[in-house]
Amino acid sequence: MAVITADRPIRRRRRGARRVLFEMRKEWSAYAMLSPSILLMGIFTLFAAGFAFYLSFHRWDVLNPAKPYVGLQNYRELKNDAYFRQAVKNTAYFTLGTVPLSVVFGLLIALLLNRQIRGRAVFRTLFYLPVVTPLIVSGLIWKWVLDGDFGLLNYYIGKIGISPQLWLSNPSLAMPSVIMVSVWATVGFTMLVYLAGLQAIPQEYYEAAAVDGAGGWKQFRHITLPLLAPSTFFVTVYLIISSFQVFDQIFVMTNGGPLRATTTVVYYIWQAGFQQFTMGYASAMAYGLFAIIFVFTIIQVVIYNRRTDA
Amino acid sequence: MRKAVLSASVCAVMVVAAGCGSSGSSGPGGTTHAVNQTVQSNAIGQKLDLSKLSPSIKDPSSPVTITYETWQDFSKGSLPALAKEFHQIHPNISIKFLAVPADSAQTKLTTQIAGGNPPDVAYVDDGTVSAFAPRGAIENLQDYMSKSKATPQSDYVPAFAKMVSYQGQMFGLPIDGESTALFYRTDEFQKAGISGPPKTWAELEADAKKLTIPSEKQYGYALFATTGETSYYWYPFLYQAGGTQTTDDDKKAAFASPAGLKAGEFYVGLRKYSSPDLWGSDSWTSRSTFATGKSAMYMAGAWFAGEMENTFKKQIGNNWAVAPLPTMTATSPCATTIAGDALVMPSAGKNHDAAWKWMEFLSAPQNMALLNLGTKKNPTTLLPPRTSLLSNPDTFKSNPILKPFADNMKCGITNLSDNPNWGNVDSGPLSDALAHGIYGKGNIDDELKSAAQKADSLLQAPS
Repeated sequence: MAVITADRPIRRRRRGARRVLFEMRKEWSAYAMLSPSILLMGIFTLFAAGFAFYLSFHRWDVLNPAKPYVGLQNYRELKNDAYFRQAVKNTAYFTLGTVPLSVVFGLLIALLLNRQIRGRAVFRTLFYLPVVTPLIVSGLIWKWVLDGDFGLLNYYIGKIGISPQLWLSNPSLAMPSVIMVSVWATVGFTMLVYLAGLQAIPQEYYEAAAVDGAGGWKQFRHITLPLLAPSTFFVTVYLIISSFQVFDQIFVMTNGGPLRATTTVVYYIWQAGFQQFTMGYASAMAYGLFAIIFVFTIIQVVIYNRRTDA
Repeated sequence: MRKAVLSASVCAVMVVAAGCGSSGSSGPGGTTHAVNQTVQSNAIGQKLDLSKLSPSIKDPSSPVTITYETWQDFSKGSLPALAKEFHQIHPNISIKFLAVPADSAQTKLTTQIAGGNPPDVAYVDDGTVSAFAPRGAIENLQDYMSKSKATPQSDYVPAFAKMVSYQGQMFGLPIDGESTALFYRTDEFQKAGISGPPKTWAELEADAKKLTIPSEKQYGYALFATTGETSYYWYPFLYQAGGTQTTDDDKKAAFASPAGLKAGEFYVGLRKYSSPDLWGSDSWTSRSTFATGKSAMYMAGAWFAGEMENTFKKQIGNNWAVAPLPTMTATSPCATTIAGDALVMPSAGKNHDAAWKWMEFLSAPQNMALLNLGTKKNPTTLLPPRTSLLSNPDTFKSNPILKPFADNMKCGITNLSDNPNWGNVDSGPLSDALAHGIYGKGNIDDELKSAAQKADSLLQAPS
């Protein structure tokens, strides 16, 4: 930067801007078609995010139009809120449980369904079905399956001699149960990404490896896995971000309980905003969550870049 | 949570009310006259002249539409019939119903008010009134009430009037209500050799013990440890022991008093006779355990009777009865919680006078009775929160099951507080303390004491 003369970057930028406008004019129809989404996204995502940032420095009870400025008070409160810390811990627990399991099972299923087996399309559809089913619906069904007294799961494990468990009512089992349901709900997505990744690997590599005498495991270890790295990276980043934002299954299945064992950050934000009417504080928490997700994503990008550079 | 539970059940009950209304008003024609006759011919209570309820408040000079947001069933039955009759009396006012699911009613109204487009009139849980009134979101109705024949303040049951009051002013018109009582399985009691419902805490515990056989998933009582729910069903014990939630000025927690600790110990002690699987649940979701006999006793509001009568009749038959809540000792005073719904007028609404006309119309004794009690063929189980209707013997002719609840009213205490931060105490430290006790994680006395300390700082925080 220091060696560049003063007028150079400005000229370059001007030229850049003109170029963008030129490109836009060339493709104006594309922008016309994009405008509804851009507009909706602008209002419901960008504006909302900006408004939340503004609110995080104010106190607002939603009903009263007055929004007194409170400076950093909401963020200071955040630092001392034991419930928030607990929610962060619960969210980390959820993420650490869901992401690896979903990645591993998604990969295994993708490997199986990448083979020439009968009914492959049917299986792929079945595994993908939970992804397109809203969790608010399937969560309700799971709640019944996991019922301690009359649930199907206890009925079947009873048949093989395991005593019934309070899946959702036992504070130490509730989160694992929610994780199980979430893995079930996301594994179809992971599978789909891996299937696409697998089909992009040229068959010649395997043929060459076979000629060199590499067996199935070695082929998997040295060809499949490394060449799936972009898929793994994408899936992991995506799952971590969505796991940090987990809400639906908690809302439907446990209401954050028992004993707050499943109160995650977004659930706690919802409680603060819509049950306790502390919208400013809820906004501050949302930005706290944003910071956490941002840091994790940066770390992942750095790790991925270092790996692929090496 | 309990709000949602009550609301959902009220909704279910209202469906029945509406259903029976429709069979009455489905006569040919459907003119004003027909509506008047069929809707109100068997109405209970004082029959006011509905066209002269508040002559000093003028009707609008040009047509206006009043929006009424509710989870009552308005697709059929008495409510649309009443709206039709109302329009005949006030030709310039039309009623437009807006449906809202009971469990998201408060959230929806909150966002509507924040967005500046609330309904003109809303049907809400009493808890919503106490959350909204201090924030200036709904109108003080005192002035309107004084101008109307339909809403004499003295006729509202004082505890219900208090629930919708903020700083001594009424911000909602109580429209239906219920008290909490003890439901018990007569067949299970007989099997266990218990002659009648428990009258004291000691009897309650002894009976619960006799009725509990864990190996058969058979329990004497149903206890809940979820946020809001656990505190709501603890309050009667707190009141019975002579305790209160807060000090008289609402500024400090008082629930960790010796009376409160005693109530806490007793309540948490019932965990031994309650299915652990219900702890993470709530009274609405778990009502089936009473219907199937898995919980032999169940503390719940009048809505629960409607559920057993209508939804679970097949499973439970007539093997159940209702009793007033037991008292701490044979000589200590009775106490129960009461809850209900009310009509409110959001401040940002545009037609306050016309909105009021609709509110007073629904509140007129004959219409309030109609909305709450249904008919002889299809009784519903909500109580009209007006003294004149509760003391009217006709009220209980078609639904005698309501009588114990009405008798219980004199012991009714509201758990709502004038301090807008109380909700945070209830759903925060207090619920946590009781839940910890029920799950056996910590000594209940210590839990309540530390909860009271946290509560003090919450109660004094700016709202």
